[in-house]
Amino acid sequence: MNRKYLSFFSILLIVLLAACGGEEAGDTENVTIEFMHSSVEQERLAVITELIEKFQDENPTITVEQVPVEEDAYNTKVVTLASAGQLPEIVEVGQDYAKVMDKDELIDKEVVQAVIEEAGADNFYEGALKLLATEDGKSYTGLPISGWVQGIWYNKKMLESQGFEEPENWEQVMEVAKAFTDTAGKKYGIAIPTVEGGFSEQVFSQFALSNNANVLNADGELAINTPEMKEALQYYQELAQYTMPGSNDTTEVNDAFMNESVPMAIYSTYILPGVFDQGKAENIGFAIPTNETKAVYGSASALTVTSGLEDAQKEAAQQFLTFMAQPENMTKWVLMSPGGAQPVSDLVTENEEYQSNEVVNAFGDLSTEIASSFNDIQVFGLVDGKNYLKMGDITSSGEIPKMINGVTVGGQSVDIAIEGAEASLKEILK
Amino acid sequence: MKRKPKKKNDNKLAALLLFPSIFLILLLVAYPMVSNLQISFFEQSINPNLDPTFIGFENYKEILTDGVFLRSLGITFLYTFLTVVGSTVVGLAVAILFNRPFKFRKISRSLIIASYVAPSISLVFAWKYMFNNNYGIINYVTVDVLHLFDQAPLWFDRPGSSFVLVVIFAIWRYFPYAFISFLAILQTIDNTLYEAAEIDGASAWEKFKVVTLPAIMPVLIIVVTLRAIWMFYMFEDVYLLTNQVNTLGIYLYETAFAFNDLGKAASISVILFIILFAVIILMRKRVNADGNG
Repeated sequence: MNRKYLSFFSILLIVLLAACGGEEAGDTENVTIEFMHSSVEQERLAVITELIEKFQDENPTITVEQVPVEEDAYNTKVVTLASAGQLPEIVEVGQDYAKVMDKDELIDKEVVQAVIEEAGADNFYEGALKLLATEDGKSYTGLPISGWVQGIWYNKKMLESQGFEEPENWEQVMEVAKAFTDTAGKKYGIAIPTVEGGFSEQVFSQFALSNNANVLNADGELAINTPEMKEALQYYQELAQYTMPGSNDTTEVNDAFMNESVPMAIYSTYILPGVFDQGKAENIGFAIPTNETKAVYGSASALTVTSGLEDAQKEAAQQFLTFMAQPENMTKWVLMSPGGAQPVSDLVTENEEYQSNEVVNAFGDLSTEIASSFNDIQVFGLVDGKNYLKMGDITSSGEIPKMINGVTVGGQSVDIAIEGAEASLKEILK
Repeated sequence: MKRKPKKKNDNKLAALLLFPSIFLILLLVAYPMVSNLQISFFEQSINPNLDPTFIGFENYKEILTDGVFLRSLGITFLYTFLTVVGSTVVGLAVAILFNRPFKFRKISRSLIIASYVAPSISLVFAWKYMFNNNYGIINYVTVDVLHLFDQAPLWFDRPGSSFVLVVIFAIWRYFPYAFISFLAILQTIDNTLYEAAEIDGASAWEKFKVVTLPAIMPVLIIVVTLRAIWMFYMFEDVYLLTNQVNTLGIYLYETAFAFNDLGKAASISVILFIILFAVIILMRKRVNADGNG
C-alpha cells in the first residue's frame, strides 16, 4: 500500500515539476530565441511575423518567438522578466529605457556594436546613434531601427487667416499663441502638455535645450537650478496660459489640434497619420522651438540583445539583428506606421518601397524636412556628445514632469518648483 | 483491531487528496511571501546576474522615516475608511430598498451592479471625460448651464477635489458588491420577526437595530473585512484617475517600477502586510468581544 502511494506521489511530483519546467533542451542544433516588442496591433504583428518567417527561411536552425507586450505595461514587464532571469534574447527599447537597462548591465553591448559596425555606422543618422551611444561613447545600447521627432506642428490656413507665417522663435510662438486664445470660446493658441508624465518632460526639454539649459552639466553633475532653466520654465509657464486648462496629455493635445481648437501643437510625428487620414496633409507645417539654438526632441527605437546569453542564443540573436539591419527589413519596420515612425538610416530613406509609400508622398517636402531635423535632436542628459546614464534615473523618477505640472497647473512659482525638483533629484542621484 | 489500520488509510487518502492544493498554496502563496521577505533585506538590481547586497533593516529604516510614506499611509487609511464605510452603507441602503417587490425589480437589480462588473479602465475613462476641463459634461452643467463656477474647476488636478472624487468613484464602483451580499442575506430573514417587532411597537430604526442588524452581522463583517483589504491595496483606480492622491499602492508601484528599487518595494509590502494584518485582527477581536461576531 505504502509503495503505491509513494509511487503515486512521485509521479504527481514529476508531472507538476515538468509542467513548471519551461523550455526543453531539445535538439542541440536548433536554437530558439525570443523577441519582445511593443507592436501589439494586428497589422503590425502581421508585418513582424512576415519578417520573422523570412529570417527563419534564411536561417532554418533558428526559431524566433514573438513576445508582443502592450506599451503601457512594457517597462514593468522588462523589470519583472529581468528579475526572474527570463528576459527575451532580443528586446525592442526606447533610448531612455535602454539607459536603465544598461545601468543594470542587462545589455550585451558587444553584440550590438558588432551588428552596427557590420551594417555600417555611417548609414545611420548621427542624431539617432547619438541617442543610443553609451556613456563612454564607445558603444551603443541598441541597433536603431526607427524613430520619431517632435516639434511644433501648425495649421497653415489658420495661421494665414490672422496673417501669421511659420513661427521661427520663442517670441513668435508666444505671439501666435496669444492671438488665437479665446478662453470663453474654448479656443486656445497652442496645445502643449502639462500632465505629470513623460510627455511634459519631452516637450519642455525642447524649450530648455533651445535656451542652452540641460539637466546635467558637462561633468555629468546635476545642474537643473540655473538661470537658463528658470527662464525656460518661466516661458513654458507663460505659454501654458494659452493652452487648454488642466493636465493635458497626448490625447488632449492631439484632439485639440485635430479638431482645430488650436492652430499649433507640440507633438511627435505620430500626429501625421491622423492628418493624412483627414486629407489635410498639405495644410500642416513643422517648426522647431528656437531661442539661443534649435532643439528638436526625438526618440530612437532600437533592438537590443540582452546580456548573459549562452553562445548559441547570442549568435542567433546577432544574426537576427543583422537581418533586421538590412535596408529592406528596416523599411518594412518603419512602414508599419508610415508618417509616424521615421527612418533612422539613409538606406531606408533611399529605399524604393519607402519613397513610393502614399503617406510619405502625401507630405512631400515635409518628409525630407522632418528627416533632416534628426540632426537637430537634443535631449536632456546628452551633453557635449556624452550620454549620461544617470539621466535614465532622472527621467524614471518623474521629478521633471512634477515640476512642469506644478508651475503650469498647480500654481507653483518657478523658483519653488525648480528648487523642489533639484532637492528630490539630488536625493535620487545620491 | 481491524479498524485502526483503516483509519490510518483514510488519513493517507485525505493527505493525498489535499496534496495538490497544499502544493499549489505553498508554491503560489508561501514561496512568494518568503522570497519577498528575503528580498526586503537586500539592495537588489533588476539583473539577477548581479549579486544583491545584504543591507539588513536599512530598507525598513528608510521607509519608516520617509515623510512621503507616512503621508501616503495617512491618505490610505482615510481613503480606506471612507470608501469602506461609504460603499457598505450605500450597498445596505439600496439592498433594503430593493428587498421588496416592485415593478422592474429584476432589471433594476442587474442595472445596479453595472458599475461593479464593468472593467476599471472603461469607467475611469468615462469619469475623466465627464470631468474633462474642456468638453466634460460636469463642467458644461456647472459652468455653462448653472453658472456655479466662473471657470471650470480643475477637478483632478487639485489634491482636495481629487481625493473627494476618487472616494466617490470607489463608493459608486464598489457598493454593488455590498448590495449583492446584503440582498442575499436580507432575503433569508423571517418576516415574522418584523411582524413581532411591529406588535411590540418598534419604530423603523428599532426594527433595523434589533432584527436586521443582528441577522446581517456575519455578512457585514465579511463585506467590511474584504473591502478594507481590497481598498487598502487599491492601485489602479486611483493611479488612472489622478496623480494628486498618493496612496500606498502608488508609492509601492513607483518605488518598484519607477525607481527599480525592488528591495525597498519588497519591504514596503512587508510593512503593509503587518499593518493590515494587525488592523484586521484588532477589528475581529473587537467585534467578537462585542458579542456580535
